Amino acid sequence: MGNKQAVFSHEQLEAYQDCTLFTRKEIMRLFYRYQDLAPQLIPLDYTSYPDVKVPYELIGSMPELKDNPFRQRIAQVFSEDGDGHMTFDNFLDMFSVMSEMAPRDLKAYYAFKIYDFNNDDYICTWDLEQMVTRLTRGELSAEEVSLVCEKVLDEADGDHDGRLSLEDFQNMILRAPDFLRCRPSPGPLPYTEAVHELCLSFFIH
Amino acid sequence: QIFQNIQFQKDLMANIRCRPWPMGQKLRALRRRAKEIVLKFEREWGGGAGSNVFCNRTVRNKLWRKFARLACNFVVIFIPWEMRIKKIESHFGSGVASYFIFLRWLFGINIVLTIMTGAFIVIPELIAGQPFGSTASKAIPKEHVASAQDLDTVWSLGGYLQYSVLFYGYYGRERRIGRAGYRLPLAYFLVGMAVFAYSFIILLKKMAKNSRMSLASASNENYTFCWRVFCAWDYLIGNPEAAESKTAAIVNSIREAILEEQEKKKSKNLVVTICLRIIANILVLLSLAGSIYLIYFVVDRSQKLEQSKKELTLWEKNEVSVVVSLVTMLAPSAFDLIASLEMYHPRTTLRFQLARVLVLYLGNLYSLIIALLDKVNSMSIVEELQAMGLTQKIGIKESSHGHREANRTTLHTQSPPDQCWETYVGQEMLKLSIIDMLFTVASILLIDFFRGLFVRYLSDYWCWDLESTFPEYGEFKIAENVLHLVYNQGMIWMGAFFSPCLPAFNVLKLIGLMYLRSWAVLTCNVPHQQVFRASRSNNFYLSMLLFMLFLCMLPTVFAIVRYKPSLNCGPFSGQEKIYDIVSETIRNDFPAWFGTVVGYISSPVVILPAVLLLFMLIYYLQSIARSLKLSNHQLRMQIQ
Repeated sequence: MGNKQAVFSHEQLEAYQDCTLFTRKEIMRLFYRYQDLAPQLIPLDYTSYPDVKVPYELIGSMPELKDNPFRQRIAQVFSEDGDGHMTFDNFLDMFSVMSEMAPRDLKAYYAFKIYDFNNDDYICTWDLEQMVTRLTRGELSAEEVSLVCEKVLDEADGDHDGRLSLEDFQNMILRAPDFLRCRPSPGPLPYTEAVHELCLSFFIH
Repeated sequence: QIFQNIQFQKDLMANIRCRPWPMGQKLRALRRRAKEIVLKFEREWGGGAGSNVFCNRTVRNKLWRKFARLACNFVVIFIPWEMRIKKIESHFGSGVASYFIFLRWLFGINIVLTIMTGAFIVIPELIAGQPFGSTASKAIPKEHVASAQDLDTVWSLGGYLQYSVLFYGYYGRERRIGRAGYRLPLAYFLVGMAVFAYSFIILLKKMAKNSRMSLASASNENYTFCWRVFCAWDYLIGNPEAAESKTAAIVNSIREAILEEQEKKKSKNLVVTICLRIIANILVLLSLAGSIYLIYFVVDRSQKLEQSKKELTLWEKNEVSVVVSLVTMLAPSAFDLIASLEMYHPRTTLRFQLARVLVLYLGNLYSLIIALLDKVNSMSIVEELQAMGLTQKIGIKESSHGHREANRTTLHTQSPPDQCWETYVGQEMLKLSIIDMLFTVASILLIDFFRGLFVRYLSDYWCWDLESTFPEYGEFKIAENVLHLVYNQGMIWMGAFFSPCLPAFNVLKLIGLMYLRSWAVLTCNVPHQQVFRASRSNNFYLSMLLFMLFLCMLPTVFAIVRYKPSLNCGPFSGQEKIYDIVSETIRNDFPAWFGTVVGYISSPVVILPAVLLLFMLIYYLQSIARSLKLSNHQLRMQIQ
């Protein structure tokens, strides 16, 4: 890529490289992905720090997120105002956290925020029910869902207040054994090269 | 103190990308302090050298990570059947998929064994050995040539198949063949041993890896539900089909966990249960004993028939293999029915079932091999007698010189019939393997496919609902199928020394089995009602395989040590024992001092202390492992 690109100033790129886990090339690649989502909206010149947001609908239609049951929560957690519309900074943040180079406690922190549907800094029963229903796409019956939620709270709730705090969650996640690893997805995706560069692996990969 | 400051700021900068702050906050922190201070100090102190080293290291790290990722992605392409197994995993759960993963792993092992035997034994013999028809052991005897191409002969692996690289008897006994002087007999013996050694090593390595993983998470089972809910989703999924598969897999695993919870709550009624269990065990023992006796009886009968009658019918020739395969197919279902009396926790039932079927398989294999070795014994006795009788005849006839031509012809006509017990053993093993494959295919088609068709299309016209009551669709019985794989591999290990192409045949068999079974599972079977794995770690199946490997190595070792190699065929003919080839090579081709050294090493003076030392080492390591486990446990208690 060299210094030919005129999207970001040199200082901006350096700052991004310090704040995320990506190299310059990866950042530029991400920018072009971001730009592809809404070509009319995103200017090709970011040196003046434009304040542009890509609406949630376009983010949610990205191939990496399209089939993810938690895509709405992911977009909400990483967006500026919690509404799902993301600036490029948010976009970079999201990919940085989800890449395989991010440390586990960072991922655990964001995982907690994603699973906390009502944003009250605790995962309560309602959050769990929402989560399980979305994860299983409604395949489980209501008693099964409530049984699962009950068991989860039984297992992980350390201070017995009926809901999971960040410490409980981190405690439980960081002990997950390595063989629960997420395998790479089968078959190449349309933007194969870009995706291979940006392995979106959330927990252990 | 200034250095500490710099270091602190450097750490802050390095860590800033790992902080859970939004980008804006990170950028502000960056702009405000750290970077400027660090840069300022670096400029002042001419930190050219230091920062260059730092840069190089990070650049190297990044390159290495990139390369590792590329290599990983590249290697994944070569793993065969990945898509197929993923699909099965999503529909049927991890238990069924573990069967296919095990099959694939066995396929890998067999490929390596094939390459070993092929490259070091078969191909040299084909390229540089005496061609077909040149010596007595490589040519079909005159009386059999006419019938050599009959279907009958081919089916019983006689004729051209018998006198080919498939079996031990074809390999020549010249110490060196070809222009390079390749030592074929030595290679044959060493590769035969290497097959077992390699299998042991790879099996133990895999078991060690598995046990390391399972020990690390040994006590963390408290979090089963949490992990299945929070860590289940694979964020790498990018196409709808995979997402659907993954969702199905997650639903399956959650259901499995729920069932396990419910099982814990069931209550028991002791007296009746114990009586029923005793009855069940007696029944099982009876059937095991019955099957072993049946096999021995059949082999005995076939031997007697061979001695008394000249022409055997097709059934009589194949009776042994057919009976063995029938027993191995039917008995496990019988055990299944009996096990329903016992009312154990499903996992315990599964383990009992596996143990019983394993004993059945081992009993069958062993009674078969004992009967075979009995026959080998009688064959080699007959051979010795004939050899002795022949020398006596030669002694008498050589006294008259002029009749030397006549002597040679009489020698020829009186030469012992083609007795080659090693080839015979190899033939029996290969026959068993082939018939086992045919029976497996037949059982898959009949029991699963036609049953499925029957239930699907005739249930409308039948009196009762076929789909929910008997006979229903078939379920994939994981444990028995895995055991069948283990049994199959045991056969190969038993016969590999006597039939070098057996691993190659097994490779083809496993490929066919993989495709047939995966098709059958996806079209004819329904997911298990109760989803239980035999054990949490995969070591259960591997330890069964290890047990089988050990037991199947014993007959080969016994045959090598006990019996004299046949006089007329094979690379070791003329020696007293098969392993003499090693001492002969050391004597002839190595310098004298080497021979004496090896002689000292293999004397009891050295061997006994070495064995003693090994025992002490084992005891010591075991006590260390025990104490480490204890301290591990105590530390864990402290954390909680």
